[in-house]
Amino acid sequence: MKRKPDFKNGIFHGKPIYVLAVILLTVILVISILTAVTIGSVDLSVRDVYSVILYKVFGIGDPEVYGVGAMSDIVWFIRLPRILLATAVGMGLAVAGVVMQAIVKNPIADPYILGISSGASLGATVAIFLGVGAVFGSNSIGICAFIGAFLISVLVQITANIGGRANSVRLLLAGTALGSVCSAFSNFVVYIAGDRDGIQTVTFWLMGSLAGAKWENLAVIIPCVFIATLFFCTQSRILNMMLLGDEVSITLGTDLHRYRQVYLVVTALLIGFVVYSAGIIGFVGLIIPHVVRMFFGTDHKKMLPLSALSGSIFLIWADVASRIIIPKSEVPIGILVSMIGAPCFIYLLVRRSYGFGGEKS
Amino acid sequence: MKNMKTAAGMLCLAGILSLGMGTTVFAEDGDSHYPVTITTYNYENEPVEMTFEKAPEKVFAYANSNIEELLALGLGDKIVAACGLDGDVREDLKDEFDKIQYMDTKPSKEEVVAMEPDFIAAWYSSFDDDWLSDVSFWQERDVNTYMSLNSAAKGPASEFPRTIEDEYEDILNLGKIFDCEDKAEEIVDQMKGEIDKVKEHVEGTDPLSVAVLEDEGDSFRVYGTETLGGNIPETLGAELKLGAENSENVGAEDLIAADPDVLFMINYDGFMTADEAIADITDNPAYASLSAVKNNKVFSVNLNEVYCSGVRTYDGIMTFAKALYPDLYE
Amino acid sequence: MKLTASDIHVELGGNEILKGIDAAIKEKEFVGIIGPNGSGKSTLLKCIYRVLKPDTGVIMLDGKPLNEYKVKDSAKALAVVSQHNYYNFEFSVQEIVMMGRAPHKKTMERDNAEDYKIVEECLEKVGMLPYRHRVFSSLSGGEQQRIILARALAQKTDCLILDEPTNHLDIKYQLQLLDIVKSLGVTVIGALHDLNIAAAYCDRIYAMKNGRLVACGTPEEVITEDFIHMLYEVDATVKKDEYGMLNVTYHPLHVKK
Repeated sequence: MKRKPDFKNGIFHGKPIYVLAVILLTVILVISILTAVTIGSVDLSVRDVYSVILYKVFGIGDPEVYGVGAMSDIVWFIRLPRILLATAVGMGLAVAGVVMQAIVKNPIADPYILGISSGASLGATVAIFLGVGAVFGSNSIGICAFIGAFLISVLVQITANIGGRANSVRLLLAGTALGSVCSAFSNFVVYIAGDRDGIQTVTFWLMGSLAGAKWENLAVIIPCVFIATLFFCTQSRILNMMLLGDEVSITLGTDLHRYRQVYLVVTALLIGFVVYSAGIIGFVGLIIPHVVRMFFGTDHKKMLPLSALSGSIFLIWADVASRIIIPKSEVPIGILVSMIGAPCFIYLLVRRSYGFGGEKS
Repeated sequence: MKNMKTAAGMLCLAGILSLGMGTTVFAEDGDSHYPVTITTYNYENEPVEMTFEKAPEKVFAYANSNIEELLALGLGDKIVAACGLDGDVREDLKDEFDKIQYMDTKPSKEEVVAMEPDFIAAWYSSFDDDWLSDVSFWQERDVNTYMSLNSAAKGPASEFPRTIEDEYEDILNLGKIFDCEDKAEEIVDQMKGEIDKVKEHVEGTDPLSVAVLEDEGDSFRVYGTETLGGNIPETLGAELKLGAENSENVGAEDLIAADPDVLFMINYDGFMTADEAIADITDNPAYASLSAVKNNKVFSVNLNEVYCSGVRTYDGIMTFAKALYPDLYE
Repeated sequence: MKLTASDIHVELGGNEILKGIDAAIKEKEFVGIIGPNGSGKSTLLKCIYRVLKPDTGVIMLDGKPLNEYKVKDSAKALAVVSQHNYYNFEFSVQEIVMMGRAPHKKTMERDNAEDYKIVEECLEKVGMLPYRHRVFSSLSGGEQQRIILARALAQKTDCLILDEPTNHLDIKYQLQLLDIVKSLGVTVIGALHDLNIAAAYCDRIYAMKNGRLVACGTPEEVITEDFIHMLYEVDATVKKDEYGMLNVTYHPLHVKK
């Protein structure tokens, strides 16, 4: 057997570098937020932007200039919520991606793999075309999508547990099957309704967008993402074991079944919130964990915080790019992320040896 | 769930009934027009009252209906920016249009905020979270808004059919907001006059059967009774052969079976000319048996004349009327 | 550490794999289980390391039924080295061995200096310390099995279960691995294929056929020419070599007697 070069487990291996990387990425995240807030279609001076933030956060400055008016609104009600939403959504997707890959023991899993995206689409479609969920008011699409995503992931678990305990293969099969059912129903509804505006709404909605960011929603999603991320950071040992499989884990004193169920519920809620506030943004949850693994190895103790931070930074800049790549017009972030993400994914597939360690047979 | 939906429907209905016949206007005594309060809608299709202390000075206008209505009311100088035109502006408004600040692409929400408008006239879809966000955001900043009624302001067409009356109301509402009601009434009266003329002409005759369709490739979109494209010919005394009940898409066989006397095909600017839309039917041997084809009764109507049409509602009326009753216009 | 199994029955997919097994393993004993493919060796071991639940019968660990232990506690008593260790993700050697500390940790507890010390010792014991930062999947099969052994050692158990751990390994690595295990002085239960190797390392041997125990005793008592014929349906010669080791030579059909 040929020896593979040593760096395969991440270019940086030792512990000090990992701690340093967490600190560095946190700094980069803060700088990213502060830089991104100065970028927008309206030309505002950097000084004015920070003055508004200073006034709003600390009450420093002239309320007449920085507390009211167009400039204040742009910074505080349009740009900042959007950037913070990108931070939360990027983090949520990356963490959910890491967890999902561990749960299904498959490096090509993404947060939506167990039918969540199809469930969310069905929820959104039903809300748009059949007016279901009108009781939820203006955000009925998001709420229905949340419900769809959550119900499907619960259903996937139930299905996978029929006639035996759910393992990663059964989960994947149940997810794929139920996902197809949902897609078929969505298409059926779209086809029957034949409503052009509705189709457009669904399409735009599914492409994902951060434009709908509002402080009210952020007050929910930021704590949720944060708590979920911290929770999974404490679960790194069990996530590691998930990659070894059920049998080995039992001999190492952990019955994964219960943990898998809890993780799936937490992930479903997390992704549900992400879908609710930003639609479906692909590839972040797939690519970020891979890139982090490439540099720092598989150990979830390192991977989770690093993926969370990288996911945030990536999505902040993807959102900035989506706003400025074509002047005077916004590219849906879902499209942009996939345009960056797909080539990255192909590159990873070409570098096949990575992530598919050992002999296949 | 079903019960809840029914209950919600009842509530909506009750709301509509209690609102009465549309807009309520409170004008003060004779010499002062303002403050004036009009009813518009938010993204949740709920009625919202907007009070104007004076005529808006800085208007952000979106889409043909609003842009052309404002121009036709002589309010071009109030427009700070406009966007969202489908095709060219109406021919007679070209000179006025050239004077306003028109943006080829939709400005972002932050750009709209930076314009500091005091009034936004747009469509229902403009107020979604991805663009302008809901009416309340603007209201909190003392920016009044208006939503074209036929752009789904009250709700989906299946529940709230699009009508010529609602187009009138948009024009009259803008007239009230800008204190130019005479001009607004003049525009509406022209449309009403044309309709009365036609009604008088068809009095006592058998109604012609029509269908208003749009070729979507594999099937036809039907402009049925709940759409403006169906409401105009119906108002003009014609009978919808397709879409009298609902507006589900139909196939070629359905069209042949329906065999309307007169067939209208939708064309839209930049994608399909009127001639192309007509040729679509007349050049297809499958439709040779249609009486509309045999009698040269296939016409085309521009989408802008039958969809949130604003001042072009008149053009829509004329297109249908001339095609249906050529003898009246000889 | 004492382990007893009484009347173990297991049915998988409608086939009765174990048809009533009784066994008793004494402290610090090296027990080998032999038998042809499909005789139920692995199934029995899986029942002991709790991946399978017996349909009937009970396994007692130090006088307490195994299923009354939390998995965490049984993992502090029994460690397993099995044959299949292919992972879809790349872990470093140290990370793999560190997982052996899991049964001793609470969910939120971090790895401490003692854990790192134990990992180091265990890697030292299997002679793989210089490889601690290597990627597991880049190692050879023999090296990988030694890492898995180190992980089992890191569990600090009194009993080691070897589920055909030397399959696919060169003879050098087979001997190396079993020598390490033998030197530990813990209870060992191992399913072994090679009768010579079983004879060389085991204190006692259980022989299985068709889901039943068919013999039990010291290597000399069990590994006889008649018994090999009965168990595997092959002819063999069993001799003692100059070191007093049992030596089994098989007779292929093309070799005339």
